[in-house]
Formats: sequence, structure tokens, C-alpha cells
Amino acid sequence: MMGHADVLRREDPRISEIFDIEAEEAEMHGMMMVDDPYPGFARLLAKGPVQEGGVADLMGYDSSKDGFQFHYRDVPIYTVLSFAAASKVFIDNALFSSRAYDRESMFAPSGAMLLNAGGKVHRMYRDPIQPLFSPDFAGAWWRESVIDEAVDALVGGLEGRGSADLHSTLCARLPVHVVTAGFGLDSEQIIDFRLALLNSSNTGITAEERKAAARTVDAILLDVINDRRRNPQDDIISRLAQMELRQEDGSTRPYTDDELVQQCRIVVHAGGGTTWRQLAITLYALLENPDQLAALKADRSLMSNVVLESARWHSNVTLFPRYAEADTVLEGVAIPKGAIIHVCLAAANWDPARWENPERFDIRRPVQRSLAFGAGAHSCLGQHVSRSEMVVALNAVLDRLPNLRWDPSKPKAHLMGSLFHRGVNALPVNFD
Amino acid sequence: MRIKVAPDLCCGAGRCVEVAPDVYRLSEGFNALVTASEPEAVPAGLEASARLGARACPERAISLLEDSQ
Repeated sequence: MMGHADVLRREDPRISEIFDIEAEEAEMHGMMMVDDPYPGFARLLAKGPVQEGGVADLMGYDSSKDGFQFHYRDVPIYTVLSFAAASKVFIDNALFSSRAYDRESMFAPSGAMLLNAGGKVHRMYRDPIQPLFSPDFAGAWWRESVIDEAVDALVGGLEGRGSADLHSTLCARLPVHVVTAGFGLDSEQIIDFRLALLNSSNTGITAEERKAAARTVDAILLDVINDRRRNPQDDIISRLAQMELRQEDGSTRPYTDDELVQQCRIVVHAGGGTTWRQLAITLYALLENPDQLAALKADRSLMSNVVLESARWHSNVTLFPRYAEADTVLEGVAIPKGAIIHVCLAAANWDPARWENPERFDIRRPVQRSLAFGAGAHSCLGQHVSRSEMVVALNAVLDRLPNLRWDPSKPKAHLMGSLFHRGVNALPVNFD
Repeated sequence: MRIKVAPDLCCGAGRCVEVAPDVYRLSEGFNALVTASEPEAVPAGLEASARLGARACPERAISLLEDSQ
């Protein structure tokens, strides 16, 4: 999978349009933009680990306005905020199931598979794909096939320029390229595919336009799937196409085309968005803390901690939904069957019972896993690929863009987003 | 034989507990702990079970240290 450098270094005005937090949150999904909600999440946690009500209402936002995710007016909602309670909810996926996603139009096309399913059905789909995202596979195949080359092209292209916006030149471009090319799509198609993928859940356009976009997504994927079934190559779609799903009765069968399309859609969608925002947040945190940036430069063994700490300190996704499959009691609060649970991992990741001064970004903390990648059977499939991308990218930035610092001639960068998805507006930097 | 769990890898998937409940359990804080403390000695006779649990880990977070090492 070599030879992508030209595509990666080509100017493409669509990049800044697609990778714009406000465009994606407000214009495409009708979500309200809010100031940094993390301090508010922490204050909410201080009032109790489990509370009745949705997180937006509890935070004082008017959830009757459209666009607050996972707010359903016809079912009771509870918000889970402490690390202990949130862990319990994630791990007990039989009681607190992922069927919550069934009602989200954005995820509905994914069907009862990787994201929504539970128990044996979830495992049937997760087992074959899991080894393609293991720590070893991330550090070997993903790096050798796509990450190293992409980072080299993107960061190498900035060398000697003296200044750049790392958000649009690196953070936006790397993750979408890595996951889409890794799956086997032509690098020339990556941005077209991303646009169609985003538009398939864009509530700012008509239902017809959404359907047309979804058809484009499926058509692009089916082309690759059909080709790789006949001519396997060294990519993820070829590997998945050769795998067998183990069914409940013990028999095995290959993926159907439809199942492959759904798997690819959800993983490529997730992989291109989350890592973009988290890599930007990580660079923002380091630039805001020059002493820690210097410490990291001097001791690269801190790098994997940096990525975990950034994800703990300001996870780009603040909340996952769950569905109560039965009446239960959590931290003394009775939760009825059928309730939606807002698992506020952002609050859990600032739980003072687990972290000292949780509001501080501190790369020297001892490693204690946060809930940034979830936990339990549904914990983030792509986390090791994402972590590997961020580690390689940050190392390249430190190696090749010396004396990295904010560009004082540009407006100051800031964290931004909706209550649910966070990122940064820009990363204007100077370097030698 | 002793068990070592990598705290940055364990995500509480719980597959080890499922296949080898005689050796593994999830800690309160979920992450990292499958036995009381780590590295933790595997009770004699449960080595095969410990290996089964380690192999089941989707994150490859569990290492087994043989006594000779």
C-alpha cells in the first residue's frame, strides 16, 4: 500500500470543510455548541454518582431543543457519572445493553452488529475482526502498511516551513487516510467516501440526499468487497472477506456482502473521526503545557502515557448510551427496565476517587486506564490503531518540527464542540 | 506460574473470567486486576486454566511467567 504521499500532500479544500467540529456537530447533526463542559461534568459528579435525568438537563441545557443526542422524551433517562458506576455499566453489557443505539438514526443502518448487539451475536461479529486491531497488529501491520508512510508524508511535508496549522495539515488528514486506506479503498477515493459517509447521517440535508449518500457509501464498499473476494490483497477488507463467522450452533460461514458493508461502514466512520479530534486535543494539551512538552521530548518513553492521559483528560467523546434490560439499582438509585442510561465517561474520567487533581493534564501520572475507550465487551475496537497513529504522529512532530510552539500571530486555539463530541478549532504553530 | 496483566491494555472485556473463572476475576475498578494482586501466583493445578484465560484475552493483556523464568 505504498505511493500515497502525493495524495496526502495535495491541497484539498474539502479537508477543512469536512474536518470542522462546528460543521459536523451543528450543521450536520443539529447539535448545540457548548463551552468546555468538563468542569460542569465534574461538578455534576460531586452531586452524586448516578442521577435521574439526561445529562443535558442535569447540566442546565434545554434538551427540548433538537439535537441533543440520546435524549428521548418518551423514556426515563438516568445519568451515570462516577468511575465505579460507569465501569459497572460498561462491563455488565447483558443488563445495560447497547440496544440504546437502535434508536439513533445515525447508527440504525449499522443494524444489530458490532455496535448494537450483545452477548453471542456481538461476539460472533467481534471475534473475527478483533485480531486485525490487536496491539501487535496495530504496531506491526497497520504501521508498516499505512501509518508510517502517511505520517512521513504529512509531517515531512511541513518540515522547514516554519509555521503551519497542525489541525488541518496533520490531525484532519492522518486518521481518515489510515483507516480508509487500511481497509483497502483507493487513496484517491478517501475524501469522496468520507463526504458520502458523513452525508448519510447528515440531518441538514433532505432524506433523499441522505439516502443517495448512503447508496454511494455502499456502492464504493461493494466494489472493493467484490474485487477482494476474487483478488485478495494485503488489506483489511481482503482479510475479513476470507474469515469465517462462528455461529451459535458451532457451524461457520463467511460474511455476507451486507455484513461486510456494515462492518466497514461503522469502523471506517469511527476511525476517521475520533482519532482526528483526539490527536488535535493531545497537541493542544502539550502546546498549552510547554514544560510537559519539553519533558516528553527528553523522554519518549512517556509517549504512550501521553496518549492515554490526553484521552482521560479530555476525551473527544463524552458519553455513550446504554439501555436497561431489567429493573435494577445502581449506587442506590432505582433504574426501571427500558430506561436509557447516559454513561458520562467524561465525568468518570475526572473522578477524584481515582485520580488526584483530575482536571490537570499530567503526562507523568501512573498509568490507570480511564473509560475513554469504554470498557467491557464493547470497548473500542480500534483503540490500538488509534493509539499507534497518535504515538507515531507525535514522535514525528517532535523529531521533525523542532522548537514547536504556538504561533502568536494567529488567533488563540481553543477546545470546542457539542456536549457530546469535543475537539479543537485549529492548531496554529511555529517551529524552526 | 505467575500472571501479569498490563494495566494499559486490559479493558475489562472479561473473556478470561468467562473461560477460566477459577483463576481470573474482574477487580472493582475493572482495569488490570484479574486476581487479587499482580503479578499473582497461579494456584498449583490451575496452570492450564490460566493459559486458557490468557489466550482468550482480546487485548493480549495477560502474560504468564513460568516459574523457571
